[in-house]
Amino acid sequence: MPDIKPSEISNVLKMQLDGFKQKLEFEEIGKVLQVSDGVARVFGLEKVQSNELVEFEGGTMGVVLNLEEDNVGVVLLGPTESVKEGFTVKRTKRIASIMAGEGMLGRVINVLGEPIDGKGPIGGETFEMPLERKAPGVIFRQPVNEPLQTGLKAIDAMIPIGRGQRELIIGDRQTGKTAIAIDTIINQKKAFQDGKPIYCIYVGIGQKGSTIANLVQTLEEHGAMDYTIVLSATASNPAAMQFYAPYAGVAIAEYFRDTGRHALIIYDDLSKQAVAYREVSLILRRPPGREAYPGDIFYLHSRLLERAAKIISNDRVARRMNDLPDSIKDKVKGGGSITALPIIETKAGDVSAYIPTNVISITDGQIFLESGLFNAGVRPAINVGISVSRVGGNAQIKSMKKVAGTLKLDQAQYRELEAFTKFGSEIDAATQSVLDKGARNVEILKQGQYAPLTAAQLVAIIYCGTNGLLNDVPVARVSEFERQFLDLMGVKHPDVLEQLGQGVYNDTLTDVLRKEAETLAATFKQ
Amino acid sequence: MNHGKISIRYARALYEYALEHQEDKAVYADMQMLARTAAEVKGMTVFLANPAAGRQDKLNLLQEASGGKKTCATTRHFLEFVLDKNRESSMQMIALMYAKLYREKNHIRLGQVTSAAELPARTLDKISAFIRDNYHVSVEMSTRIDPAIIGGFILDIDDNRFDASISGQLQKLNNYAGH
Repeated sequence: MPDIKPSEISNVLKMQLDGFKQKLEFEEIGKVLQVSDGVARVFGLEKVQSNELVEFEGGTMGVVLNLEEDNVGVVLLGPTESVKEGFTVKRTKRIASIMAGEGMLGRVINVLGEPIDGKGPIGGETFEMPLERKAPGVIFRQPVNEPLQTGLKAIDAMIPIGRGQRELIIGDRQTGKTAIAIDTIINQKKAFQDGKPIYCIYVGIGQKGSTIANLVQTLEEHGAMDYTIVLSATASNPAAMQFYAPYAGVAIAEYFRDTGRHALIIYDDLSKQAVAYREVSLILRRPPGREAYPGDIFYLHSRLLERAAKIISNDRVARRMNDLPDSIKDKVKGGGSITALPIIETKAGDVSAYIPTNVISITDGQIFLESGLFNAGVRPAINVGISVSRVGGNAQIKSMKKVAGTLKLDQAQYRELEAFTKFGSEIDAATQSVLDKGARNVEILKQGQYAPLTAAQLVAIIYCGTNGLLNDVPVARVSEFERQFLDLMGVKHPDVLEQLGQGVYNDTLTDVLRKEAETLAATFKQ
Repeated sequence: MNHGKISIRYARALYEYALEHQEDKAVYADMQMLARTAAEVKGMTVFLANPAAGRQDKLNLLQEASGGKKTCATTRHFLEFVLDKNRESSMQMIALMYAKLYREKNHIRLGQVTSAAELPARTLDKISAFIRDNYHVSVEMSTRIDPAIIGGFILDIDDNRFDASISGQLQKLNNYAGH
């Protein structure tokens, strides 16, 4: 029996027919002169606007990118073979947009918002959100003041991320960039269960289809798909789809942000998006610049990342936000945020290449991953020395700020001294103590994949490290100590952990931590 | 570089030159023929853009494409001029822009009626009269038969389309119902 949708019941159809006014009016058209490599040149369409969606004969959609005196350059949002020379192109008078809604949660979609996971159409109410939209103005923003916990010790302690921040994850291939992003998504599960969700949007650009399938499976296994949307433009999609993917992702994130909720968006990765944009620009015969990227490659990323913001909590002001789409005007609430984690892949650790330097300067900090550390078993392979978070410190919970205050400096000092000791020179007791503490802290900061910790657990274990409570524990057994210590605290002192998680920090709590750590460390003494 | 400016500049120069020599109408016919051939013959623009192809071969091709021996003197002269300036790759756009410019200056509009079956001459005359009366311009009318539109007709006037076909109505209904 064929599937009958509720929307196809006769009465509903009749009502729809009643409302269907048969209006006949002139449409603006053009003719395809030339089509190649995902770009069509169209003669006609004189009144078409930049970024307008146009429809080709046969239903393929395209976006107008180049307006020249004698032709219009249109990038195709479908296969090049579907458009032929001589085809008619119609204006839609709509700016390229995506239909966003709660029904997208748990789904895998493409740049046009169509599901590609085989689970049927997207359900629920959807709202039209433009792909290109101006970022909120200054008066509609609020400083970053709420933490976004990644559950990773190294990040939450030393490079804290706040809601509304843009924090770049940068590193060579195979250094664990995506792993950090996935762990961050998985760590939002508790917030979702507590009824304070941070909706996650993972945008995969130019990746293999199998990589996306694996990622979705991982998220499903950890129960993270309930609050996550995966938007994918794989390597086999046209270049236009790949370079529009982040814009489609942020348009969905804006739906959550502007309705007073929190969203986290991951762009994996923007270097591939830049390459896709370069391809389209060169086919459109735009003048190439450095590394053959077009002149507006900086603006491509800056206007995208500027849309990540913390919105003012005052509803009245938020409702007057600039460039609000009509579809959500009556639903706007303040206090929402978009936190962006763009990913950039470097070649041989070269952060001074064109795209990395651009994105570093746009973002509010970067997490730099090194293959040397990764291969040495330090995972996540974060180079603490050059990783920074420019605004996240304000959002860190008080207890974390207190315990981790000196950690970054200690570790940077340790790395420097460690290099010296490799020459085999004699070292004094003070230096040795810095080295001992540093080595143990490195062990503490190591963390397995898909094993995020709560804020309270992070505070407790980092307290032990920064206060030298692990001096008696052999370096090789630090992880064992950590596991036992956290188990012990969870069983014996859940109240202490709860308070630490809420940001409380006082002598009573630290006494408990110190006492328990010392007792446990004594059992590890050789 | 903005390639879009090249064709309009050449087209404007050609129009003014042709007007001075009172050959604007003949050049219009040649340019229309050239644009049509370029659209129909695949590979023509690729050949013209190929630097390895000889000048004389390109000239012969352009002359054949614009009407062969029937081309007027101004057109022949212009084709050689374009080749001297190495702008032969833009020739299709120049031809299109010239035709557009000529129609603008002479208040002519291009009309095309698409129908599922052949329309009687009387109906076509009525449509032409309708456009003439409403737009106060003369119309160059052409017809096309496309059974895929099922019934009704589609009227194209330059860049505007009036879709009164059955297939168009069904498509609109489909879009409206959200399928």
